[in-house]
Amino acid sequence: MHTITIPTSHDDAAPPAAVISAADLTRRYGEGDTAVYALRNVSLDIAAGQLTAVMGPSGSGKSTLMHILAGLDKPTEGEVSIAGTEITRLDDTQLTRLRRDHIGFVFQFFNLLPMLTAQENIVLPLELAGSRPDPEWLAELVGRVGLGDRLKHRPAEMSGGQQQRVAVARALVSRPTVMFADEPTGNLDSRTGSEILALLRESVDALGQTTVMVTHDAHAAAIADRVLFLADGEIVNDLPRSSAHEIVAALEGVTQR
Amino acid sequence: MTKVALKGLAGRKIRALLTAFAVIIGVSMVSGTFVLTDTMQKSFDSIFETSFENTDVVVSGHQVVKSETADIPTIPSSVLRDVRALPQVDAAAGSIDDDTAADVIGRDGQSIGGQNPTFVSAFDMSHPELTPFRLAQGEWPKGAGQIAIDAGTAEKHDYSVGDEIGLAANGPVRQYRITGIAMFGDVDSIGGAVMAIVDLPTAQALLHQQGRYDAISITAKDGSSPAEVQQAVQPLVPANVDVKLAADEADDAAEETNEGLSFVRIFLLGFGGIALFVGAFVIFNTLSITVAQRTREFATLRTLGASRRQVLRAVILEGLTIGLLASLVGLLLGVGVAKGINALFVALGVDLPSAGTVIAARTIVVSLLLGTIITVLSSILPARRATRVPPIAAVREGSELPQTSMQKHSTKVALGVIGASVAAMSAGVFANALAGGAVAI
Repeated sequence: MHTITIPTSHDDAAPPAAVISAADLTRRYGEGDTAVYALRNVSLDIAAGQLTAVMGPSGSGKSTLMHILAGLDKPTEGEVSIAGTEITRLDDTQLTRLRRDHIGFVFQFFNLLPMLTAQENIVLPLELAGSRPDPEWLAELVGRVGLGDRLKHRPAEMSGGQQQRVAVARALVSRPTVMFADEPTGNLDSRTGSEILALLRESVDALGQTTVMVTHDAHAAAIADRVLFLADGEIVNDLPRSSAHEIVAALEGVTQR
Repeated sequence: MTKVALKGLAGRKIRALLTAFAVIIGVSMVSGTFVLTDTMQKSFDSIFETSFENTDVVVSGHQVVKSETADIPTIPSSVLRDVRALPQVDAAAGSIDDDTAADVIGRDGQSIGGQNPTFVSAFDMSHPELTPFRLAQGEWPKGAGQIAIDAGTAEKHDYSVGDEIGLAANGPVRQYRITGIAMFGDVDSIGGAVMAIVDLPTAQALLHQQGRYDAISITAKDGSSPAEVQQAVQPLVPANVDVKLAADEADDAAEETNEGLSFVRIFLLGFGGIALFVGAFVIFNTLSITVAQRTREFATLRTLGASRRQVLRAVILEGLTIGLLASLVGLLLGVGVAKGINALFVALGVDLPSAGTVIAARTIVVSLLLGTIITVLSSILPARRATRVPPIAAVREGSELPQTSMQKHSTKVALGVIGASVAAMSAGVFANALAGGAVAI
């Protein structure tokens, strides 16, 4: 659906194309001596078709980074581009269009609309954008997240795991350039959490869905293709796909720094 | 988004109902006022129409000095004879109407009219079409000892054709046999007044005005205009007697009642206006609270791609829906309010003429528009507030605002406000009924 501008590769090795590029991001609260930095000079590229996890202790700036990458917050300095569009200076209308075309969200607390059924929640982003769901795509999506018999249920009639499945389907329905997941397992028990992680992994593998996930859970980060570690507003480590053990070790290193 | 707004509203039925309640009351006051005054208007119109349906020119005495006690000059029967002789005149009939001398006495020996006026009316029974009276049952009275009474009195005091009823005028009570039940046009009763219709000689004897009439009603012959008849009659009457066109008389009478009715209307509409004003605040308050409570919901919608405009429309749509439904209910309730106010008048002994319930298109349009527009207007500010919710509020923990103590009690506060306004309005309606009754008589 979406044309993704693929930047020219640097050399023959052809690394995965970046769909998000952030350059010199700084997020500062306050001025002068009392200024607090949530992010300091962070630059990164998020590769297409990969699941990138962002980890770090609380206060490390990982949430701020995600908010800025997703256009929910603006950096004090620096630039972010999604699919070739510089987003930090967009106005509200342009941001709305950006969200419709390029961004999907999965929240820690699901954020489903209580008055709508599962199906209505899933297709809501399309309806807000004024487009109709493609029945085949919808059927495939519902099949993938495993909600076939729950479509007429309202959030209150579903378990947390089921609600988060609906939320994942809702994030995927518009085939966004990038899906942001904010602690997607943070409000689930470990078993249903694992199911949601498997679903996220599958959406990357089978649909090529570029995903950025903020988490503090090493098991969640273990499904990522790349794990970024933040501390004090800076990227302090950048691992390729790793086991939970390796991630815990890296995290300890970060925390004890 | 429409679905989100409407289903969301359906999920907050109690609050929506509370919100709507204030609008319902205001709209019902407005529509009730219109229904009541329109109904009264139609009744009066019907009376005037009947009175002057077949009459072109009216001859009546006029008071030189306006006072309660001064006698209105009567017209000698010679004038009637002369009028009838005119070539321009098709028919002319003398009549008597007196509301000072007579009292209709019930089975218990007490006056039926009480505080309300009692009329003794008599007219040429061969020309009832020249009077406002129409026979509902039986026959017109003929000769001494016969009487017809108005349908309102007959119903209220349980009299029917064949019964006896007392009548006293300038003397002892005498019993009369009821031969007919009369109506005024389509109307049973005018403001609780008691009507006693007897034949002309009986009335003249009772009122000591043998050979004299209070008024003469004239129909012009085909080919003669009422103005020509007026000109022809004028030289025949004494100086203290007026010759007027029936059309002018009807206009005068209608103008008089219209003034009274518009006073009642404005007075009652004022209370509807106050109720709607209170309603606007209640809606503003409730919607503001629900918007604050749904911060996370609006933020989530924004992250899913809802524009500010869509959020604005969703909240205004809620207002529109509440307003429209409340106005519809209020409109229907208004018919009941009109009946209630009418019943109140009756309970106070002040019957209003009633000729069916009149629900004019204007009543429907004004009530629905007023209630809906006011509700929509009061939803604009809360709606604008909803558009200012930042999308990032969807991911902030605790973005559902903590309830303030005011919000915790908002339902009670709203109920209190509504209760107080209902009480204030009831008192107002009651006071109005008294004031309105005084005006209508």
